[in-house]
Amino acid sequence: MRRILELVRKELIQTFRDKRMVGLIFVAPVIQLIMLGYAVTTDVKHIALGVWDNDRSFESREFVRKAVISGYFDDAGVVVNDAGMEHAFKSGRCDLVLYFPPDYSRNIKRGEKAKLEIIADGSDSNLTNIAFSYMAQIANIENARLMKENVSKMKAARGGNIMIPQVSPEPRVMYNPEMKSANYMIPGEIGLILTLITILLTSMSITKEKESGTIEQIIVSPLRSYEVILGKTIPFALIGMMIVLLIITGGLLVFNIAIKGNIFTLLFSSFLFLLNTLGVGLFISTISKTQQQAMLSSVIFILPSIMISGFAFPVSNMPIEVQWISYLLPLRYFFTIIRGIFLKGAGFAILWPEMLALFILGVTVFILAALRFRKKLS
Amino acid sequence: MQMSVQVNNLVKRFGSFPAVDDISFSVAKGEIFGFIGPNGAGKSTTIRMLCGILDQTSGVGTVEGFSIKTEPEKIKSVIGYMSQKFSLYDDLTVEENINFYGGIHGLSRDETKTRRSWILEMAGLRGKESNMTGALSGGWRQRLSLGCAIIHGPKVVFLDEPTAGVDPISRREFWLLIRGLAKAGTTIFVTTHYMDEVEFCDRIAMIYRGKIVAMGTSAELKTANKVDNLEMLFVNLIRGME
Repeated sequence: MRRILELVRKELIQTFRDKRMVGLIFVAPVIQLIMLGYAVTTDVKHIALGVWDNDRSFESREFVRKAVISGYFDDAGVVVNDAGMEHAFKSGRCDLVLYFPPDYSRNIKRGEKAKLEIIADGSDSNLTNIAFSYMAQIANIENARLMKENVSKMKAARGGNIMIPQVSPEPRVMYNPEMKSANYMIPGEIGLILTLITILLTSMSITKEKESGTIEQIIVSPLRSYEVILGKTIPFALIGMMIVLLIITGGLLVFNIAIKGNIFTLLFSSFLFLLNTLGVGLFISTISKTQQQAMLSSVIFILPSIMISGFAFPVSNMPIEVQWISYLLPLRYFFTIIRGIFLKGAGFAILWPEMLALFILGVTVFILAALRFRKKLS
Repeated sequence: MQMSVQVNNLVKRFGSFPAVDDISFSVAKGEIFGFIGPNGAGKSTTIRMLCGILDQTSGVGTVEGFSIKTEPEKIKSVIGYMSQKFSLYDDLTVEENINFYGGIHGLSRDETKTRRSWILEMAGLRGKESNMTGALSGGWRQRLSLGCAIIHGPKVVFLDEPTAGVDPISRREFWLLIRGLAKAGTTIFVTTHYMDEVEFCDRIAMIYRGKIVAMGTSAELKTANKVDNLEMLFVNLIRGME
């Protein structure tokens, strides 16, 4: 224990002594926080659509069918009631829910205004805006159809009193009612920065010892492999947790975004996520001889994993093969978790499948790396 | 005589290249054993195998009775190792380096404190405790590196070219330190490519291309080969192999 502590202390002293490194670790997140707060706009397809149909009519099913064949929406399975909808949003299975009130088809048949609700998750303000405008277009198409149908009826009635019905979608936002994109981007930034900093720091601190030869002194010491591994990962886990707190504080002070869920659930999930990044960092250090190699390998791993895990571009928008790959990326689960906790107040009851995935992936990659990490020179 | 290090038919191949080619020798307790040879002769490879940093290809070896093949972790608790590069953390202070090495060798805080003051005295670094190690000159780095390597009072010390790149006065002081350690009963296994340092060793082995070409005390080697200069002997032996 004392030996591990000594390693941890040494690592922290070295990290904080390098002033440029401290800048990189703690200033970079703040700069990114501000940049990403003023976000990225992207094109959206395959929005996950849930249906809450209290009318169960031909007309309601017709509207859903139109939405799905437009290509912009995917049917995510039926949502039956209020509680089911909340769960679907918090677990990230739905982006949007269509609610048909019991009188939807009756109003159409009577030629009146038929209201339906479009309820959006809202965390991703960009996606929500686009989804609303798509839905408005689909309603327009439906109205055009109703118009055509009733015009022929009118002709048949020869000027009789025929009312033309109209569907009228009413948008509603569940979370993030102000529709700030920062609300979506800033929790994501926790995942982004944790990935970058912890993978880089871990892999580079070990390869640095290889370069300077000090690794030999560690090998000839009575330190066990597991002690070296813990001594080389605990410091960066601590720094990772400090970054999480920094971003939470920054998000609150700069963008006035408070966490809706439990902060300890967030920290616990961050820890599960860190198992993954530290394991990857450790693994990279076993295949790299120099710091440059470690840095390059890290970037090669980090870049695609940020691109396809749903940081800026919705995963549902990607080709199916890429979506399969994204199931292997811890970042994908972590994004769902932090956005769920931050914006929707989700907890263990809803997010446990993602947490379990993080735990399993993390333990696997950590063990693989530890097995490769032999206390020998090759 | 009790043996501290014993090696029989040790071989290390990197691919098909034999870095260490079937060598055998033994080192007695408290002896200073010098491994002399040019760069690339196999000196460091031998030391690394003895310290458990590198696996051997074949052959057997023991250090303080522990097998290098099956008990490397036991060996690590009784040896000290100082590598060619004077493995110190340049971005730590003198004191932080000492504390770190004390810590990873399992010394308590009090023990580290006692040893620290001994090392500072021995290396002449008193008053420089909070200097950055990277800014120290060669002789100081070398002695601090030695201090860190023996902070836990090991029975055998392996020194890999400890005097390379150090000025003559520092080299001399260093050898006096080493002799003092040996006198106190520590076994010293040292490699060098400076022929004049042979005189500080109790016994030497000349190694070239992975093979031991001559072994014995300085006097024995001179009389047996009828030379009064070991450098000449080494050159002649190598010429014979070409």
